[in-house]
Amino acid sequence: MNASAGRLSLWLLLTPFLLWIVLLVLVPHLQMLRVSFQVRESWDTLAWGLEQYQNFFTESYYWRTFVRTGVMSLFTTFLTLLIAFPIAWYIARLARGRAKGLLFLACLVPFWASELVRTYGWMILLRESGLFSSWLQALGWADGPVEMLYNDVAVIIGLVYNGLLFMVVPLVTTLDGMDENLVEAGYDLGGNHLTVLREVVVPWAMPGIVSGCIVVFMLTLGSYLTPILMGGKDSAWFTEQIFTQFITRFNWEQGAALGVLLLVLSSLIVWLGLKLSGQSLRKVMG
Amino acid sequence: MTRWLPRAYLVLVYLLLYIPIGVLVVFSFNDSRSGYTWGGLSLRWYQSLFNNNAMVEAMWNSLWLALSAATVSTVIGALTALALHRYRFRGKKVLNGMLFVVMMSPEIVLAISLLALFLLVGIQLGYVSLLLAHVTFCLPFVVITVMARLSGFDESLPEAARDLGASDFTMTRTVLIPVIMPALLAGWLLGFTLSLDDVVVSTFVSGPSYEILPLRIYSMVRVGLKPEVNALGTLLLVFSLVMLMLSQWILTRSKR
Repeated sequence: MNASAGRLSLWLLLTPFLLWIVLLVLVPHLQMLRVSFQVRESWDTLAWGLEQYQNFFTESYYWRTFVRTGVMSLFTTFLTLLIAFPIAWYIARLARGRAKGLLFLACLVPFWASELVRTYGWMILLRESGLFSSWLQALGWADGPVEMLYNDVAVIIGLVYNGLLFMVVPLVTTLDGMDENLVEAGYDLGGNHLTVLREVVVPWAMPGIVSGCIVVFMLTLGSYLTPILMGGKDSAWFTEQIFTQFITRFNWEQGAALGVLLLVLSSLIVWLGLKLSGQSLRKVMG
Repeated sequence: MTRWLPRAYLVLVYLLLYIPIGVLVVFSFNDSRSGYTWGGLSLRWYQSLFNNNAMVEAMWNSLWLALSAATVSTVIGALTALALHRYRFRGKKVLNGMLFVVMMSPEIVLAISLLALFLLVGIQLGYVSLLLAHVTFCLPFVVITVMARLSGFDESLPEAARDLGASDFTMTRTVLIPVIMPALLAGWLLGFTLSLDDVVVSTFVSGPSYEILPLRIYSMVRVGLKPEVNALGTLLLVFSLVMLMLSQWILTRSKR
C-alpha cells in the first residue's frame, strides 16, 4: 500500500468518528462554555460576564452543595475501597481455579442491571413499608414502620453499591500480578499483617487503587439517579442543581456554568489525588 | 478464626449484592400489592403491563432506539477502532484521550450540552435527538471493546492474504471481518444495553412525542412504588442479562 492511498483510507475510516466528536462532543461543550459566560440583562438581551461563576462562589447554597457532594463522594470512594479490597484480595490471591472465575463473574452480574433497577431494588428494601422495616418489626426491634430511605446513609449505601464493581475490577487486576514471594519476604523480614499490608501490598496495588478510586469518585460525583431516588427531595446533590437550573428554572446560563464547574472541579480533584499518590494518569489507566 | 472470617465476609458482601435484585424479581411475581407479605404466585403485574398500550408502545420505542443506536455506534466504532489500530498518525493520543474523557465525564454535563445544541440547531426533541445522544455515549465503549479485540490480532494474517494476491477488499472480507466479528457483536450488544438502560441523558433530550421505557419507569418510581415497576424492572434486568451474557459468550468462545 503506498503512502497516499494509506492516508486516504485512514481519512475514510476516521471521518465518521471525527464528525461525531466535533459535532456532538466538542461543539456542544464549547457552546455550553459560551452560554456560561453570558448574563441575561433583560428577556432578550445578553451580555458577556462572569456573573454565573460569581453566583457559585457568593451564594453559599451552590458551593455548599458542591462541597457536600464532593465530601460525600470522597467518603463513598473510601468506603468502597475498604469494602472492595478484601473481596479483590480473596478473588485474586486466595481463590483457586473455577472458584476464582465464578466469584469474579458473580461480582459482575448485578451490574448488568441498570442503575435504575439496582436503585429501585434498594428502595424496595429500605422504604417504610419495605422488607427491612417489616423484619425489624417482626424481630421486635421497632414498634412501628421505620423509614430508612431519604437520608444520607441511604444515599451512601446506594452509591457504594453502584461503585463496587468499578473498584473490584482494577484491584483484582493489579493484585493478580503480584508475586507471592514479595508477601513472604515481607513476613520473613519480621513484618506482621499490618506492616506487610502497608509496606508491600498497598504500594504494589497503588495503580489499581488509584484507578478504581478515580472511576468511583467520578461516577459518584456525577451520579444523578441514586441521590435523587434514595435521598429524596432534600438530598442536595450537585447534579440536581444543574437539573433544576436547566429544566425547572430554565436558567441555562447558570446551569451551563454549574456544568462547567462540575467538569473543572472534578478534574481538579482527580488531578490532586494523582499528585498526592504520586501516580500518573497514563500509568493508572493503562 | 482466620479461616472462616474471610469467607463470612465474602458471603455477606455477595448477599448484599444480590438481595436488592433478588427481592425485586421475587416480588414481581407476588400476588399481593404489599412490599413485604407474600400473597402467592401471580403474573398479574406482567399482565397489567402488557395491557397498558402506552407501556407497550414505550417498550417498542425503546427497543427500536437501542437497536438503531447500537448499530450506528458499532459501524462508526468499528471504523474508528480499525484506524486507531492500523495507523500511526499525529493526534492519535489526543483521540484516545478524548474517548476516555467522554466515558468519564458526568452524564449530566453531556446531557445539558446536547440539549442546548439540539435546541439551538433546531433539532426536534424525539427519536432523532435521542439517537444522536445515545450514539454519543455508546461510541467510546464500542471503540474500546473492538480495539481490545484487535490488539490481539495477528498482523501477519492480512499480509499473508495480500502476499497470496488478495486485494484490500478481499482481505477485509475474508480475513479482517471474521476476526473482528465477535468484537463487533459484543460491542453492539453493549451499546444496545447502554442505550436501553439510560435514564439521565434521555431525560434531557427526549420530547413528549417519543416515550421510552426507562423514562416511564423512572417517573413511576418517583411518584410512588408500584408493583408494576417490579415486573418492568425484572423484564429489563432479564433482557440486559441475556444480551450481556450473549456478548461475553461470543467473546470467550471466539478466543479459544
